[in-house]
Amino acid sequence: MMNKWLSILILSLLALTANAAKHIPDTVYHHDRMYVDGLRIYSDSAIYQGLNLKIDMFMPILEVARSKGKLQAYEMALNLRLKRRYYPTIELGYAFGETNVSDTYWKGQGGFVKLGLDINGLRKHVDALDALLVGIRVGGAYEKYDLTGVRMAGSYWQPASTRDFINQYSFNCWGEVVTGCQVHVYSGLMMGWYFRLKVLFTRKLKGEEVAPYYIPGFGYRDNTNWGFNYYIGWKF
Amino acid sequence: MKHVNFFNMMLVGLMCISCQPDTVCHETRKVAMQCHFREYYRVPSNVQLNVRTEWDSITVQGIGSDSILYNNTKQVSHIGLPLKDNADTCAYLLTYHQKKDTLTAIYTNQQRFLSIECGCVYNHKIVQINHTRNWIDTVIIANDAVMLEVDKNIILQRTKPDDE
Repeated sequence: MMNKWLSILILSLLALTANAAKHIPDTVYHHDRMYVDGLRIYSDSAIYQGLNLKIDMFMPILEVARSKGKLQAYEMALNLRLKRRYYPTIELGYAFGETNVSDTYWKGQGGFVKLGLDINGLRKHVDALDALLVGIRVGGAYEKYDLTGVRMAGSYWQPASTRDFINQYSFNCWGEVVTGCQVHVYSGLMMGWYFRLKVLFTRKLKGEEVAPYYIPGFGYRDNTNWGFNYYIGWKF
Repeated sequence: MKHVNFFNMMLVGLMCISCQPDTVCHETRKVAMQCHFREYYRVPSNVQLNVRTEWDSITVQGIGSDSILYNNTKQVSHIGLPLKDNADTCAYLLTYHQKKDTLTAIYTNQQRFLSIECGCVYNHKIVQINHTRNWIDTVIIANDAVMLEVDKNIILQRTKPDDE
């Protein structure tokens, strides 16, 4: 049932993005500055050409849906537009949750930051706010977690048992290749999405007894992962 | 904005991909010291020694344990000897052709986390192997790391007596 409503929501948001492109902008000039739908357009030669603040709407829904309400993840992004097509980006987020896997109970929380750069592959004109983006990210997450009921393998000499690992800390680092788009809807309102392929760099444990089940910003711990964000943002 | 619609369609497809992580352990969790066999024997018509790498039968019991690990097992090329996780020494009684030898491993332990589904196992690092010499002549440490990925740790060597 939840998946059905999730699909409807996603499709609605996607349709809205597609339709947003059909809007005819209202362009005015004031004190030699150009405004489109009330939003300032910077000069063609300017290095700095605006700032976007974006809030992810998709991952909170996805994580709640696939963890059956036991995991929540939130993410926001801030990017600058430089020289018409470069978007240095910083992304911040937080995740917390708990889950039971094969009678092992994980509970954790942590924050993450990602730094990267997007390049707009679309038109280079300064008044074109829509963007088709390709970029890279380097992410890092620090988290605190508990793993209880971890299975200790039995053998000829001793039966299988369980062990608890409380107050564990972990730092993980990964890289991402991202592709996506952002569409100007009205005034400063932007919408867009990112699809991400992620590769975990910190695969081996260094001094830690156990590894976290979930890495904020990366997802379930594996060598590779994917991610998707659907952003609603504001251009300043 | 045709490209935006195209990418939106791609994304609908991606939504169909399952995103639930696997929760079943597919890895083996039996860490054991892998023990291989090498027996040199002489054929009367041939001056050179031949080599055999299979026990025709072997019985193995842990010293201090009531249960038998291998009971007169036939035609095996190697045996796995689990080491105690909570000790740094472990001894086995190996019986071959009615002759008994004691094999004692001295080692260190290191816990290894596999995954949340599989839990933890203990890896070991062999420091020393001691043995009696009723049928085992020599023990060679081929790889001192006792872990899941290693399939040969020690080799038990003997030369078959002509009268056996």
